[in-house]
Amino acid sequence: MQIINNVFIDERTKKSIGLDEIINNLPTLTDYGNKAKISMTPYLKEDIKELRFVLEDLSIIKRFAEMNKSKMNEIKSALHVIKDIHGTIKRLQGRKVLNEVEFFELKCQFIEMEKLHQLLISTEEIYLNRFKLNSSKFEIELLDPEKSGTKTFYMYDAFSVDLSEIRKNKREVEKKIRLMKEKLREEVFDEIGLMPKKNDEIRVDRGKTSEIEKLGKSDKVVMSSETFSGLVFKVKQNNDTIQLVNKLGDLEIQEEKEEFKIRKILVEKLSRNVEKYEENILAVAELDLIIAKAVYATRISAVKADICDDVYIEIVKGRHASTEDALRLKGSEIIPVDISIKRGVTLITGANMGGKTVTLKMVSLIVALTQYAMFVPAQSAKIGLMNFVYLSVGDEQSEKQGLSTFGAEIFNLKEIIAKADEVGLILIDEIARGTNPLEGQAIAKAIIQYLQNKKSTTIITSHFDGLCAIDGIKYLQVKGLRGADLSKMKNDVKRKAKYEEIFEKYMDYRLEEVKTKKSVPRDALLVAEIMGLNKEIIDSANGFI
Amino acid sequence: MKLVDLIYNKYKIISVVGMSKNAGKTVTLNYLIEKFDEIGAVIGITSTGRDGEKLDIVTKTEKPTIFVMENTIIASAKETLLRSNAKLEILEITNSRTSLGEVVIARVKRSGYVEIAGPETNTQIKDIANRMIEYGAEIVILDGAINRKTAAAPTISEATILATGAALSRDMNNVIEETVFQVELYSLEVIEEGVSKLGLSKRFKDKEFIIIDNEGKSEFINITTTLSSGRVIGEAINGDSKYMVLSGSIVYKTFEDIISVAENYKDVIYIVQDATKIFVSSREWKILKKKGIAIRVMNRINLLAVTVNPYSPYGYNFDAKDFLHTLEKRLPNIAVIDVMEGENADN
Repeated sequence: MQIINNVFIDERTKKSIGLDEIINNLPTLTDYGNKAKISMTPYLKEDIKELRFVLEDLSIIKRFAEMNKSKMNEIKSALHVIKDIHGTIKRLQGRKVLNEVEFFELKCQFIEMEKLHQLLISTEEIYLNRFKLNSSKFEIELLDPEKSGTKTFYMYDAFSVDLSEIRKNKREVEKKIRLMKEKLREEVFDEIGLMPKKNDEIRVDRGKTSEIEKLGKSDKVVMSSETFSGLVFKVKQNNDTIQLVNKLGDLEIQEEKEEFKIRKILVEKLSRNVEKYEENILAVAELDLIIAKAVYATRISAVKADICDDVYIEIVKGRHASTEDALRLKGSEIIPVDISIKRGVTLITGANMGGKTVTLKMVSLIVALTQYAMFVPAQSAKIGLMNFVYLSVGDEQSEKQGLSTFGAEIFNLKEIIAKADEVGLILIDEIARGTNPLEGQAIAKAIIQYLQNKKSTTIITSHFDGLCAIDGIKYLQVKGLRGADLSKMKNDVKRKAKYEEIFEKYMDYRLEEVKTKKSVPRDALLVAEIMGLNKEIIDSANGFI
Repeated sequence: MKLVDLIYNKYKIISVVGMSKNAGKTVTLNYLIEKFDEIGAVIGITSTGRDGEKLDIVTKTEKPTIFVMENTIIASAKETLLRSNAKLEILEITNSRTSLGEVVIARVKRSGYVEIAGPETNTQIKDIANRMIEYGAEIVILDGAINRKTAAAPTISEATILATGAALSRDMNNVIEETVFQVELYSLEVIEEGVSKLGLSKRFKDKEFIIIDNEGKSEFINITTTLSSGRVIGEAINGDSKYMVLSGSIVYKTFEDIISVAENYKDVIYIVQDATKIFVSSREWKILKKKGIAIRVMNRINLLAVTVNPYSPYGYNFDAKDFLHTLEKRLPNIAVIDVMEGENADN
C-alpha cells in the first residue's frame, strides 16, 4: 500500500496525469543524461529561488536551440558519442590498475569531453555555470604520448624508454630466430630433399620408406608423432636458437612487467583528478537533460511558468499534453482551458464528457511539470509551489487490494485527509460517486467542508446537486453543450455513429465561474437524448425531475 | 586458381563454416591468415556465436589457436582480447554485448595468439564486419560457430568456405557423402526472377508464411514457426497452389507432415530464405527428393571452396590423397583444398 507521506507525487498519480510519459519522452542523448532524467527530483517550496534560476537557464537554452539550430546540432553530436564509463571511473578512484580497454574508454571520454568543452567555450551565451567543464588536456596528453590525436589506445612505445628498448630488442631477437630457423630448414632440404613447412614439420606417408629412413638417420630432425598412415618429423633446433627463444621469453616477461609499471603510473596520475572527472560527468548529465527539456518544450509548444510566492494557480489556455497528442493523431485540436484557483476548495461541475477529468489532469500536470523544472503546455501560467500533488480518480479500481471503486476512493480520501494541512494540491475526480447518491453526496459535502479551511488547495469534480451551495467554495462550470446547435448534432449522430468525435466537435470544454448558488446543469438527459436513447424513456425521465 | 585468388579483390566479407566440430575450420582459418599474409593483404577476423565454442573447451579436444599478424583487425569479446598475447591497439568498443563482455575492435600492433569470440547474434555481425572494413580490413573473415552454419547465410557473408574433415566420422565414405550433400544444399536452385518480385525478402524479414496460387494471389498462413506446423501448412495447399514461402528454419518433420495431409504437395515449389535454414540429414534429403519435394532458395550461398582435413583429433586419420581426390571427383565444380598439406602439395 502506497503511503504518500513525504512524497511530492506518487507513481500512480505520475502515470495517471501523464507526467511519466513526458519524462520518459525527454530526448536525452547520453546514459549520464538518462540517469539524471530518471532520478529527477521536484523543487519544493523552500527551493523556490533555485527553481527560478533553473527555469531561467532553460529559457536561455530553449531560445538558443531555436535560434541556432546548427550550433545546437553540433553540441548534440558531441554529447551523443559520450559513453557511460562510471565503472572505469570507480576503478580509477579505487586506484585499481586498469587494462588497455579501460584506458581506451578513458582516452575516448577525455577527447570527447574536451571537444564539448571547446564547443561550449565558443558558445558563451549558453555556457552556464551549472555545466562548466574542466579541461581534459592534461589527460589527453598523458594517454596519447605519440600525439596521434586518434581515439584509439595502445601501450605506446613512447610511454617509457625502457618499453621501447625492450620492444626493439624483442624485434631483433625475433628476426634472428626467424633467419636461423629458415637456415635450419634449408639445411634439412639440402640433406634429405624435403622442405619442412613453416611450423618446422615434415609429414611423410608410411609407404615412403627411403625418405623415412633418411629422416630417421638425420641428426637435423626428430620424429614428433605418428599416425596410421604416416610419420611427422620436426626440425631439431640448435643451441643458438634455443638460447634465443629463451631470451625472447625473458624479453616478453620484461615487457609485461614494464607495461604493468606504466599502467600503474598512469592510474596514479589520473586518479588524482577523479573528482574533476566526476564533476564533468555531472555537468554533461545536466547539460544533456536541460537540452532535452528545451527540445521537448519546443516540440509541445510549452512556456515557462511564473513562480509565485503565494499559493495560487492561474493557467491561461492550458492543454493536457497527452490528450492533445491523441487528438492530433485523430486530426482534431484540443480546446485550451483557462482556470485560476486559490487555496481552499474549487468545485467543477458540468456535462458528461465535458472534459472535467482532463482539466484536473491538466492542472496537476502543469503544476508538477513546473516543479520538475520543465516548461508547461499553456499560453501562460502562474504557479505557487506545492509540497505535494495528489490525484484521486473516482472510477479507479484497486484490484490488488481487493477494494471496490468506492473502497479504493475511501482509501485515497484517508490519505488526503492526513495531508490536508500541508501546502499541497489535491484533486478529487467525481467525488464519492461509487455509492448511493444520498450517502455519496453527504460524504462529499463533509469532505468539502473539512478541506475548505485547510492549507491545501483542492479541486473536486462532481455531478451532485447541492455541493455548489456550500459557502466559501469557488464554483466552476463546464460550458458544455449550452451553445451547441442541437439539431445539427442530432443530424451528425444519424449520419455517423462515432459519438466521441461528435461530442468533441460540439462540446465547449471551457470553464466559467458561477456566482449564484444554482444547481448543477442538467446535461445528462440531453446527452442521452443526443445519443439516441429511446424517446419514451427520455420523456418519462423528464417527468420524474 | 589458389584460394586467396578466389577471394582477394572479389569479396569483402567471407565466412568459414565447419561440417562438424574439429572438422578443420580453425585450421582453414589459420591457413587463410598465412596465405593472405604472404600477399600482404590486411584482413579482419571475427566469429559468430560463441555459445557453441564453450562446449569445445569442455570436451577438451584440440582447438587450434589463431595466430594473428601485424595490422590484422580483430573483433572479439573484451575478456578474450585482454587474455591474448598479441599487442593490440584498441579501436572501438561496440554496443554488442556477450557473456565475455562487449565486443571490442582492435588492430594488431605485434603479432601473437588470440582467441576470437565475436558477437553472439548474426544481426550484429554485419555491422561489426563493416566497421572492420572501415578500419582498413580488405577482407573480413567470419569464423562460424561450430555446428552452426548460419554465418554462411548470404544475408551475412558474400562467400563461404566449407571445412570438412576426418573428425566428422571414422568412415571416410560417410564424410564424403555428408560433404557432397552439404554442397548440394548450398547449390540449391534460386527461384525464378518473376517470383522474387513478389516482395519475398520482406516476407522473410517479417517472418511470414505465404501460399501463392497460379494467378499470383497470395494468402497468409497464420503460424509463427514451421517446427510443429507442417499439417497447417499442408492443409493450406490446394490444386491451385504454386509456391509456398516458408520463413525461418525447416526440418524434415515439416515436410513429412505436409505430405501426410496435402494431396497436391508435389505441385508446389517450397521457397526458403537460403540453405542455412534447412535442417535435414542426407538420408532425409534423399527421401524428400524421391517423394518429389521441390525446394528453391531466395538467396544462394556462394560456396568458394571445400577444405579438407584428413586428420582427426580423436586419434585417427584418412589417407590424405585418397580423401582429397575422391572429394575432387565428386565435386567437379568446387575447389577442394587440403589445408594440412597446402595447395602445392600434389599438383
